[in-house]
Amino acid sequence: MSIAAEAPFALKIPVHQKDVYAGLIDDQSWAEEFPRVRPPYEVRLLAEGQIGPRIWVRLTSYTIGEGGDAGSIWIEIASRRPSPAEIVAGRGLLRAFSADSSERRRLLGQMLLHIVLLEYTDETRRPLWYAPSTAYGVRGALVGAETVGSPAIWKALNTDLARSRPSTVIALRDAGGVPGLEAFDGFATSPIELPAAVRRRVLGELDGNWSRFGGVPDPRRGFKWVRRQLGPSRELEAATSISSLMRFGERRRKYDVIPRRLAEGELGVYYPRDADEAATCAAASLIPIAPGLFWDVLGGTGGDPQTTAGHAHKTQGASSFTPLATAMTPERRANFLLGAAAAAIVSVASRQTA
Amino acid sequence: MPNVVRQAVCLAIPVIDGTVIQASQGSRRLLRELSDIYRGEPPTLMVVAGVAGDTTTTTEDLEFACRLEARRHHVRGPDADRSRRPTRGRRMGRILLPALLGIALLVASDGHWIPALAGAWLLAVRGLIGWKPTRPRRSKAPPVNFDIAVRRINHVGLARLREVISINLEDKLAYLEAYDESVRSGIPEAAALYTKLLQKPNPGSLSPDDGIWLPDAGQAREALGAGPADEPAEQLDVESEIIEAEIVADDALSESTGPAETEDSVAVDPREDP
Repeated sequence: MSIAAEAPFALKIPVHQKDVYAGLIDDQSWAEEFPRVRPPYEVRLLAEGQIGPRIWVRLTSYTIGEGGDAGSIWIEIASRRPSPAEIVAGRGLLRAFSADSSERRRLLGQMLLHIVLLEYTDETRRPLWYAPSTAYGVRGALVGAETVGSPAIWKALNTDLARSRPSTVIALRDAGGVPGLEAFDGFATSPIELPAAVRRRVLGELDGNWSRFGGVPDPRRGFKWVRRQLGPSRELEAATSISSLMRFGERRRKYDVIPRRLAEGELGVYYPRDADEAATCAAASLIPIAPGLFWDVLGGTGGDPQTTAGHAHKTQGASSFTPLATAMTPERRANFLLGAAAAAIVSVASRQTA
Repeated sequence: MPNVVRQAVCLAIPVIDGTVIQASQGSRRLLRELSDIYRGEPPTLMVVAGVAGDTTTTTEDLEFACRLEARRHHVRGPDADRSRRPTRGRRMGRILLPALLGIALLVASDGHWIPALAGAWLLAVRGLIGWKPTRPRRSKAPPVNFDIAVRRINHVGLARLREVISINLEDKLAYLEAYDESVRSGIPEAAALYTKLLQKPNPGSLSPDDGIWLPDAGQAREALGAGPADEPAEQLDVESEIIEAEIVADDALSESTGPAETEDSVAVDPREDP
């Protein structure tokens, strides 16, 4: 094996700088850039429909890659109403994978990548965007994980999902500036099936193990306890890898397991800081696995079927992730969505070639 | 284990060019508290979708929207008073205050065993056994993922609203009359929605908490059947004019170009030479 093939994968798509973000959100400059971005992709129009009166959207699938050992990765950005951050994340992904770099070619040689985007049609004036929910904390963010609100578009998504049969599904969602989580960039959930007894024990005793003597919050102890309860598994390993890739990208040498003070360039991912927050996560059926990554064990059957990730996990058996951006500014939210997508892609590619 | 069925109501409130599916106020409360009510086997949630009798929304679309609406309110959970949420200062205070009080009691006990015991309790024993009276004890049962079944029923009040909306051509007038009718019919959800629409008569401007908008089925089919669907409705009107012009053009141009004229040129010529 060559040295290049053994080197770890890297993928960084930063859009938090104002000028990069502005270039991608501006429809006119994107219309000029798109003809240069489009050629390497196989483009298919999946559906067109309305998500509001005179608000027309189109669902388009962009496919690229050679379908190697990492299988097929299906990235979906089709929320109830496309937000500016989601639009930028979608365009950022398209731009990143159309770039002619050896690193991208190496990644695409390992996988088949489907990027499914919900976009406003050219003549639709972009409507006002509201955050999906005004609810507080982690539960408010979870509301934003829902699928697209148009039955016709959902049907088309479902058909494409069944046709593509992906091994990994990533549904990127902008939860808006969620009250209580504004200070963080976001977090990701992944639907997982757990034995009923383990699920009951972990969710029931989570808050009690999130602090040490005297009720002093101790998230490090909490994460260790969760890992002991769940036992070693491939999914746990993948979750840890995605968490650290999400936080640091490829620049992870020596870092704090719990992100108390952010390192330079580190994404501020959400994790329960004390027993109260751990209890709130447990009430929402979320098990914190690593900073910024939660297992969604709703109902014990592997996630919420009303979300794309939960549906894909149930129907296709795919490993699924829903990164939820919660920061106040759209630049940070778009940056988090791209960081989370890049982390999942690199993690999948690295695992298959390891 | 008995099969528990809980019932929620979603209303298909008619608006211009479509319908807004919205959970009733009582159902919102029920759905938010649902995870705190049930223990044990997951309940079945029966969503009764009240619709206007002649609504054009398909049952399939209605079911989809009702499921999403039910999920939304269940996931967001009970409304919590944000001011009661522990801030960093409050969290520290919760730990430090009992400890300080414990030390003060130990120092001030002066050999008396009752205050000394109270001080020791506050300082150490309470934390050791994990007893915190300020935090409500949570049930050890994990939250539930309920099955959702949707049943469609005709709602007389909504049917009247549909009628009011359909007979008024002007948007604001339609919403004003619909507001009056919704108050008379005792549908506060519809009244609140129409109040918002009176300020901004475009259902596209509603927030996600106001419900899910569905297009009228006939309208959706027409739009999807039109192929690329990028063409606005105005272009269809232009096409019908072209058909008329084609007949005239055929007559006028038959001598020079014959019947094999393309549609494009025929469409242009009559306008130049009326």
